[in-house]
Amino acid sequence: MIDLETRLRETMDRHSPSPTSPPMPANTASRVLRRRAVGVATTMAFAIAFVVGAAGLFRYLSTGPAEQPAGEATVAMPTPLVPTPTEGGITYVTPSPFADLRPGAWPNVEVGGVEDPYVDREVGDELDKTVVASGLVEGAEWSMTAFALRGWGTCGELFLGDMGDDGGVRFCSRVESEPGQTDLRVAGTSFGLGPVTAYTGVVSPAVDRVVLELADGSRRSVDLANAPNGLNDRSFVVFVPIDAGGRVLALDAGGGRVAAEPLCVGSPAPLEQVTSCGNGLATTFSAVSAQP
Amino acid sequence: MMERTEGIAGTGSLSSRRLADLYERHVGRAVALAALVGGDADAAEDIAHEAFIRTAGRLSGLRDQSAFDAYLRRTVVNLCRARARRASIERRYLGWLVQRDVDQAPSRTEDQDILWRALGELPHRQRTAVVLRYYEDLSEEQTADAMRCSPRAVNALVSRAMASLRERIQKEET
Repeated sequence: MIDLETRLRETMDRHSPSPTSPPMPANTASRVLRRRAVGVATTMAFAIAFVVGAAGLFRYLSTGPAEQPAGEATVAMPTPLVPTPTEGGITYVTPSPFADLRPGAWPNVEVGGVEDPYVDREVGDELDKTVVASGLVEGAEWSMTAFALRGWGTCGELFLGDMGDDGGVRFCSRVESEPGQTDLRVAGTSFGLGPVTAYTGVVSPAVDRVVLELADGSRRSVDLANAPNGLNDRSFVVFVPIDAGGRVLALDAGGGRVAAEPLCVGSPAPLEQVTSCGNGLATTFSAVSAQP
Repeated sequence: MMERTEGIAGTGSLSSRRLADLYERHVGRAVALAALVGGDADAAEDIAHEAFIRTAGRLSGLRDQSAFDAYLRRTVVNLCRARARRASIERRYLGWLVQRDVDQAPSRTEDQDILWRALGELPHRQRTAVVLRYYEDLSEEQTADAMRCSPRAVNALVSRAMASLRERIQKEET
């Protein structure tokens, strides 16, 4: 019996085109030259911008900035959105790597490292979607965008798969069918192809931080993404065990509770299906087959 | 596996002759890679040609000019991915039309090959990882570099792909 790897190699060799190069088209050299010229011009533009920026910074530093408390001289963080074990007084459980997502197991999540995160662009879709976070969960890419949508307030979309092909969800701060508080809007989504379960949401400026409180009473802080220009509400995403129960808490700067929403996903969605719930749920995007 | 390109390090400019040499040495393999990753033999030559122009166009800016093949491979993977994304969006809008075409399409000879068909049905990223690992014979680290992800992610992608292929084959062969 030939092993699968060998069969795979033979199959790919049989079906791949001959590795003999086709003749080089006549205009190749000129296209390469044009491309190089554009590259050089771009590099020069960046160099000039850098020099101008450095000169401005030097001038600013030499005149001295206005004094301010050290605590206020903070720099906006990039968008680490997975639970981080940094909040005092709360018990954290650091997720450990695992091979597959059994009930109770935390997914393996990486933030960043995706060069070209997926953004769902639809024909006629003029929405100004900004990627606020991306990464890998269980080896699959995920990406989250934020944007304003007329009548729906601040919205975001989470897609799984490097082409969004594992499905996605849109969540918004105003959902007509879900009256009630608008400080914390949450959408829970089960992606059947993982299966992977995620909670995404958007919080109003009244909210300082978001905490995931699990059914066993343990808590994890959830980082908030910086809102893109023009938006006030910040969004978040947290990947949880497929059977996680508990709630999402929105807290103000003093630690007081602003709002709470339950973790609503019951059992994982069937394979290749996407199911969603929650007071922030706007749309569920089904998984798209890789090949028609 | 694509061979390393020696003898072009330090060349800031490329003569047409040298460009033709590079083309002849690398584009054939890039066409094969594009066909396997993208699953479309007809588009593979265009993708490989475009990738060659992009890579050769920034040759002087490459940190390691002797690794032309690695840069070309990465560009091919990126272009295949961009093309697959476009196709995915088109399919979403023209789903009914595509379905009709699929229903009416005559079965092709290669469709008789279970493994080839199963490979084509893998999610794009899994297929890319499998092709780079077992067709290009790249290590996990090299595959991760070409796909711009971590070796651990490559390991997960290949494991999933192999599990899917194994399951599919067992199902069809029993």
